[in-house]
Amino acid sequence: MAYQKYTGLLDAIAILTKVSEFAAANGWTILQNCVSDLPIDGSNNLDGVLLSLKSADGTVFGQFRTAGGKKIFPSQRNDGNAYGIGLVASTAHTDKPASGYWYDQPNAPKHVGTQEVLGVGIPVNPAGSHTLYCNTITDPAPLLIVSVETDGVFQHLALGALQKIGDWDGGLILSGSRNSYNMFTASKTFDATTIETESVPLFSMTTNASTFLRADIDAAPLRNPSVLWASAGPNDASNISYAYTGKQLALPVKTSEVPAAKWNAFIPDYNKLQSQNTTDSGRNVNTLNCITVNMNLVAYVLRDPDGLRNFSPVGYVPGVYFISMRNVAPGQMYEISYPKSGLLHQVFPYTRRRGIYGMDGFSVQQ
Amino acid sequence: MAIKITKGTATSFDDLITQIIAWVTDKTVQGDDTWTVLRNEPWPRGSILRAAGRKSGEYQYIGLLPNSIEKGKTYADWFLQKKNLATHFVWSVAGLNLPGRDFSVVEDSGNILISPASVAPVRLSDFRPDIFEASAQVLHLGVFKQYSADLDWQEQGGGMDFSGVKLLPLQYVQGNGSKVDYAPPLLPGCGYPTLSMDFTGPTIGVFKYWLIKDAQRLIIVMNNAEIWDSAFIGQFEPYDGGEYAFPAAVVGGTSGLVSVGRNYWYSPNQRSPVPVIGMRLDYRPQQWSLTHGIVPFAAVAIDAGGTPTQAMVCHPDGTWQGYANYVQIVTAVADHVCNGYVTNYHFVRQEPARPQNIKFRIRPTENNIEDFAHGYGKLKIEPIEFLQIDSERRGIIGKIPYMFFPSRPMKEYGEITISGKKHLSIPNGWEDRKFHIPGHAGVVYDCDVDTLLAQERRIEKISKMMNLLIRLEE
Repeated sequence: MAYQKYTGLLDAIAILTKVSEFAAANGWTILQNCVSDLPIDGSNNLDGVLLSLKSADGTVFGQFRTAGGKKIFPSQRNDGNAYGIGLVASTAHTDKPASGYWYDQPNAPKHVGTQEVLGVGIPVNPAGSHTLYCNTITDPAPLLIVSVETDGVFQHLALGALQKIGDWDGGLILSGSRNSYNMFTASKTFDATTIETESVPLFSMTTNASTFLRADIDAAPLRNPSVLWASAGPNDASNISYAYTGKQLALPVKTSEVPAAKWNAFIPDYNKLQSQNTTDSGRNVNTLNCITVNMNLVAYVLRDPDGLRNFSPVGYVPGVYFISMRNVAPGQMYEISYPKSGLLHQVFPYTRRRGIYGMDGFSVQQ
Repeated sequence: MAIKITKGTATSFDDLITQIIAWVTDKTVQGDDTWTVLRNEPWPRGSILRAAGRKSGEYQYIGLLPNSIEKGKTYADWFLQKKNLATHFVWSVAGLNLPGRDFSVVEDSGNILISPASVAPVRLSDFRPDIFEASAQVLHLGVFKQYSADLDWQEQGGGMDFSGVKLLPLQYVQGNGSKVDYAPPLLPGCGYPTLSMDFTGPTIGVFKYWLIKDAQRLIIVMNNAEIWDSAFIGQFEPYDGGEYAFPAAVVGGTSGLVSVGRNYWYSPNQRSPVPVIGMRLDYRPQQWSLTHGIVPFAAVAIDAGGTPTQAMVCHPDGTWQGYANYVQIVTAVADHVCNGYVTNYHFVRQEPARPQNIKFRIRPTENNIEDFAHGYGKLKIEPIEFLQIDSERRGIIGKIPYMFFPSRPMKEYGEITISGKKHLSIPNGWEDRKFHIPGHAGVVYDCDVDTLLAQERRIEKISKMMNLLIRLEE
């Protein structure tokens, strides 16, 4: 599907309004269209809007919520700068969750220790000028990607379903440049460099997990409390920043600390293809023909029993690929003819070219 | 594919670019060989023209990037931007190597203070970090395989990569520690072959230029008050059957890089300075290092693989390689002390030598040609060819069209006729230019007169051979 670009958006609400417009025009059903919502601290002055939507095939439900100065998840750091957009995925939707909190949706991801709802989010300067790129994939599975560029630095949110390998229950995938605990920036001025340092690659395995997969993995749903989601990070519930859901999800794009970590998943990964430092172009690029190769993002989950460390591939992120940005410009369209010929892709850096992740980025099939 | 010639005068590089664009895009002059201008903007976006590629239906992108470099300002203005400090200093292995660490930058009583989270603050030794020896006006030249409207000039696909180039280190101090070296990055555009002139513009207000063009290449010759510079941008002629995917070459008047040395002090307890030798950039045309000059005598400033020169060639694997016949370095000579510690080193430029670590040469001058002479009064002209003498890659890969090396010293410069054909005869910079002064620039106590005299005669003879011919008609 063709992307849409919106420029000069001033704040999170303006961004969500356009996301809603785009999603509606591309087959998503809008369940709650930017309705005002009460803060979670129990006070009664409205502090943000809520956008709930459903994919055309009825399998993916998502709730976007703007933060207008107050926390929007139970545990969040840097809540002195609580401006941004949070996102939670669920298997169904209710306008009025029993708890009254917007994020308490059916089967939303939860932290295995505290049982607090987890999601993803990005900071948005309430007095900035933002450029928004919206992308959606419908075939073979639905996926919505929201990319916000401010002062040259990108932040991304993604909501959708995996293209499954085999037959299993679940498939909902949720990813972002940050998880809900880390979604706000420490910088009062929304400094672009600070925002970069706090971000992780979309659909990556990283210490502060920010990609979550809904999957019934072996007997995990029968555990107490039941484990319905896998998180692409450490298997460590001690720190909520790691956003551990109780099962590990492994992805081929890993941040630099992961290969040496004891919780690393030894799967076919792109560690050697990724930029090794800020000025490195990575290995996933041909300098002669100026092409970059689309590398599939395969999701692997840790099978029972966890101690054996067996990761099974369960599916692909539809229409999104890992690339090197060496020869391509952010937000532009390129024909990347692998694995299929003649398809245009829009390309994005994880944060910026030659930024914290070097030339690493992703492409979205159009 | 017919050769087209024009000449004229320009008052600045911007003026030259305007005239180049007007001429190469003029269909009445260029016919089927007309190029298309894709953009014409100031640094760092530059001018990019679309030209025919090697095979029909293919394109190449010719880049011209003017910049005005002011010593003490231009580089600092760029490098001290927070995003560039992040990429090239705080997060970089060449700098603090704190990947992804947030930091703040403040200017504190004439110091640049960088405070990364959870480590001691860092003070740059230079309030205005610099990699330039002098101010200059420059015109960087490039060829790209691909064009993207949103990328800066030097970021275009298929451009040159200078990430391995090590300049003379700058220094910083962390906490109360000793000074530490760091490798500064190149300013965008630097490293590419370049035409240059003084910061104040052409010496006499205007310079003369010649443009020689066909469908796939452009030669620029400039005569700035009798200082000559030449450039080639586009496809060279590989000796192959059409397999060479992108035989691009860029030749300019200089790489800008010169070998320099400095006395470095790391801690207050140090008795003697450490002589550090490295590369800095000096684009002034009167800079007499051989890294400035015509292509048959191209040189590197240090003998390290991957160092750019004024003659860059795109290899079959898509990487760019600097070709050089010479290396001209400086060496450190200690101040004479009777007893005690050396307190100062002088840095003296050496006679050019053959590089040992760069195995990419330019024929026919890859060997000594000082005895090459005319054949019974007639000039013999030799093609200029790219030669690989690497242990694994050997052979001549191709030649530069329209550029030749004459078999004897030229007596006149400018437009001349050889065998009924018009040529442009140009010296290596200026007439009677020497590229080296014998002796240790004032520190001559360790050389005897016979050695110096022999060196001077050798330099004299080779200097006279340093000429280039450029064909002005088919």
